[in-house]
Amino acid sequence: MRATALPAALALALALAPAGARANPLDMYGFLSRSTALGGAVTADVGDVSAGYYNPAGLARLRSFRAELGYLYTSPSLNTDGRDNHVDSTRGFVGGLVAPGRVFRLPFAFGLAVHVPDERLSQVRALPQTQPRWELYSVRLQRLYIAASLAISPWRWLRLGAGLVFMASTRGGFDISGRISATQPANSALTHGVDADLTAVRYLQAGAQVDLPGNVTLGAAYRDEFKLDTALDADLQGQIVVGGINDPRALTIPGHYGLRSHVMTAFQPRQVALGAVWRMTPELRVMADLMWVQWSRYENPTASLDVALDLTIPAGVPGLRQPSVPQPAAREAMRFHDTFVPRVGLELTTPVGRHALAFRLGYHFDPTPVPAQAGLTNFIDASRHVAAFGLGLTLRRLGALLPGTVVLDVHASMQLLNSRSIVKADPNDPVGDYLATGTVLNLGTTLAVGFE
Amino acid sequence: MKALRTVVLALVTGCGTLASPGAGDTDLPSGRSGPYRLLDSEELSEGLCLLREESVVLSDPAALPLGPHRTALYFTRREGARRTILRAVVVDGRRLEAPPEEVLAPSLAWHGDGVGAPDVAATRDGFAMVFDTAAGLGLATSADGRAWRSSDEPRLTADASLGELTPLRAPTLVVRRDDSLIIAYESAGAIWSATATALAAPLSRVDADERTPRRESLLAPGDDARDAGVVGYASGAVGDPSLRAEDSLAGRTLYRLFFSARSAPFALDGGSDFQRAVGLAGSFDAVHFTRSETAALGGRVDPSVAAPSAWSDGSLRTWLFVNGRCDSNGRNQGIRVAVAPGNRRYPRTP
Repeated sequence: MRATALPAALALALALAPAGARANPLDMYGFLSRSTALGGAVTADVGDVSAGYYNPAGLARLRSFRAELGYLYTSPSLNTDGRDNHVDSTRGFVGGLVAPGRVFRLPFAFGLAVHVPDERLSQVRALPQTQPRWELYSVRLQRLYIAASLAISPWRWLRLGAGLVFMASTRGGFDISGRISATQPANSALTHGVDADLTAVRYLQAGAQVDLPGNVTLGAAYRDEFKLDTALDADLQGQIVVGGINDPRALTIPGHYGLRSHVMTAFQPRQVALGAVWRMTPELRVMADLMWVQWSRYENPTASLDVALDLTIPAGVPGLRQPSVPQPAAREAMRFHDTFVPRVGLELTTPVGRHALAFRLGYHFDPTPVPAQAGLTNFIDASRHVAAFGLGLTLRRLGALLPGTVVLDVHASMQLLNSRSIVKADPNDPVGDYLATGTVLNLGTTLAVGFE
Repeated sequence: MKALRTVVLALVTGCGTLASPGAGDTDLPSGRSGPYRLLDSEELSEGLCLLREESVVLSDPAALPLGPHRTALYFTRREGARRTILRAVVVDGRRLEAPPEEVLAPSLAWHGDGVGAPDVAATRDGFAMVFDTAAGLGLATSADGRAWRSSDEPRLTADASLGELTPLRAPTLVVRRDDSLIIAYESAGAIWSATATALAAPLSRVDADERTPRRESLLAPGDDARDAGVVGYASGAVGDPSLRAEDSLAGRTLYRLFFSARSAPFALDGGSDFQRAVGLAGSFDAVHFTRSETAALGGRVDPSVAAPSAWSDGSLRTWLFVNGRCDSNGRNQGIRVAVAPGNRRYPRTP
């Protein structure tokens, strides 16, 4: 891959950025097998396609073109009161590429990271706020994710990277205007207009890696917040005619009915990760991360509805009053709180002839940002312990067809959700007390090909 | 690169068209507070009622769970002035396993003309039943739920000085794990309660608000005689209590009190008409109850619904047995069934 190919690759990434994409499942389950098996503690260590998610600066580690393709499968078993709520599995293809080159003699790389669900590209569900739902699972994880990143290494000990993740927001509306006959509806004369607009939402991610003496590397990564809104506006502007539609003597009541619906269909909190890796020996490395996640800006995903009715009732019409418009239910404040997520990982690599075999362990603790649900809302979640294990087989110089390396990584991780009692303040709560707990099995594999 | 783009586009297009509707909302917790829907004659084999008898009034059902799909149903049979207590076994909420059998009839002098309005709870040694008579509330015990032995005298009689201005009626019983019991009952259009440390121990009356000079009931009629627009629920008399204790997996005990509510008659209807509904109140201590803002079962379909008793035969479904009309003009009164959630219709029972 030459530097001249980079603009074309970037254009490809932009062309593939889908209109319907939304938040990503990578925060919950990790991205690609090696990084997932290390508990995601790779901010300072990542140097493969997964850098497109964990830390774009890591892309600049690579000196040759690399393509990766894998599959992610998760099996949630999330329960309330001991009954499985059958939350959807998240599964799909994962992969991407890294295309390195040189700009002004400096190492440079472009990376593309993709998660393509194999069931649905995105999902939107609007539920009443009293309806129990596993808020951080289910709909939120049925997403397509595409990130395009660039990285540069101005000095051998420093790598910098940044990227954009592309999302889309939907806004639509329809207008109806004309005359409505109250006595002869079939004679009503109405014109309709529909307007739908898909607008792009982009958010930034950036990172850095610094090599220190003593085989230690520090890393930092930043992922910006994004909110994805779906809005629907409806306007009915016209006249209600009591009598013949064209009869000038008929009673005419001008009016306007407006409806504004707004729902937040996805939210990704702002994240800052700091990490370190210590290569203790050429075969053994340990790594740790600490991530701050700004959940406190999470908004109530329940649809907000504004309805307005304005009728101009002519004077001298007794007994005719403008009907009242029902008031929408007040939306509860979410009161999510920020969390700190600690991660650790360990990788042991053993040479096998000219090839290599890697053993990986990882762990992270993900405190729930969801506060006690003592009121009307039922956003279910619990703190997670996530333990991961993985293997990686690196095959080198397999022949003229593949002069580079072929890497096969596999991972298995298990999320264990702490049991959480949801107790209600009101003994007449429509849902009542319940106990939430669960596990999520996460399996995956990645095949990587690195060219010389 | 062209080939890669083609492959990715094919994946994106293909994957987006194969999805199932999505899940994540099955077997979610529910407070079982309704709203309930009365089953109609298309869903029951005997018409509108699960239990009916010509020229006889069947009323005051009380469910005692026997298993995942079976419940015993105790109820009053009134023929003329004589009242007896019968037992039936109901399967899947809508079908009788066998014809009802009489389990308690007036046999002692203090029973007078009859015994009725039963409620039954399991105890460490068998079962206990509370019932009403003209003389007061009685208690009976049984080893098998079918052969009952009544107490020799009333266990509780009305005390006007404590606010019980009318005879005590329609008792309901909860036996707690430590063998102590709570009995709630109706008197003077309100619901009261008493507790005892054991079945044989003396009952002591509960005052729901000990800060006031007079004894307060668990549940009293609402202040607004016109129900603030919720006709038939908040105002007028409350009665026919059915109290149950539910231990949640979250570690608390919730007391649910189903009751009949009756609107105050108002002048527009000649001063005599009122409407009924079934209400639900909840409490964490069995003393201080909060009433739901809306009725669990309204009286629109059947204006005579009353005396509820609930039974859950699954994780989410609850059946509610109530007094009701078995024919369109209300001449035949029997026991009807309502269900929550009510959005599913059931095929007629065989």
